[in-house]
Amino acid sequence: MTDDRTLVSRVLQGEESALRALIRQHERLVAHMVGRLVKGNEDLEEICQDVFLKVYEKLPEFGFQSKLSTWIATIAYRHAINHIRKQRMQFQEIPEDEGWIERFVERDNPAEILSAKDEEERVLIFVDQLPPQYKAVLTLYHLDGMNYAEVGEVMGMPEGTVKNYLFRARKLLKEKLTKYLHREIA
Amino acid sequence: MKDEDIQERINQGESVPGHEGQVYRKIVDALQREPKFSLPPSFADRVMLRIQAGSSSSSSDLVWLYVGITACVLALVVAIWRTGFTPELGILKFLTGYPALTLFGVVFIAGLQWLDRRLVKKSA
Repeated sequence: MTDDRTLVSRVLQGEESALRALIRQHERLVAHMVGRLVKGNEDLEEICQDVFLKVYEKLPEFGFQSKLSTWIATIAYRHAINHIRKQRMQFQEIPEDEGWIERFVERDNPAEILSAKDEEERVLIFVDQLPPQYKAVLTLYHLDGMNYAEVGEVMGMPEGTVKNYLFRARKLLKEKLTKYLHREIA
Repeated sequence: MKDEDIQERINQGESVPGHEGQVYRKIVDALQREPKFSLPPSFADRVMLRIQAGSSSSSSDLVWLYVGITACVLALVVAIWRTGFTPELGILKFLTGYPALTLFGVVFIAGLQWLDRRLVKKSA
């Protein structure tokens, strides 16, 4: 695989094959972010295309202050969040009050849950109900294998907050799944 | 065992006995599962097409902008020549008696623009 600096300089020189390679190397990362954050009957592929158009447009400004993948993930994250806000889709900031945790755990979605083929799919339905910041942290850490520092860079937050979000998100999922499993046994 | 400890051990790939450990294991396995949505093999080609279409449309937009500006200037010149129009300051004539006020107006507007660029647009 070509290293990031060579790849970027080739793209900036107008080499089409280099741009194609850059897209292929990072399309999975962008698809994860957009696919997890944007829901509903949206054209997810078009949103991913928009992310790469932005990457191409801003590439001359990229100064390797971070890894190329982290920079592209940042653009994908911001684009997905802006898209959610523009479409007036349900955008939840992480609520301040403690009551929302209880509401989250208690919230039922029988139809969706019953349609799930296995427990892993059920967990992913619960993930969909989390605030986007939690979803993004979980995706970058568990699916894309980023470390705390890289996740923090993408989301513009300190490492401590990333750790905290990860812990809280996983705990919420544990409580929700435990409650569901208890109900299934009863 | 506390949630923090269980999560930490599962993160390190260790197996944690007990119900809570199993639940956390299921959660982490699910989170590592590839989502249903994936991009088609032709995705990179489609992005390339959009980039090419964007650059050709933006260069043709620029050509049309220049054509439009040139046409407007030509129309203005022809109109002045045909009608013998002589430009006048009209209502703004009174400003010639107040050069300090005119200067203040220009500086004030320029100052507002500068503040807008420095403070408002930068923070947006």
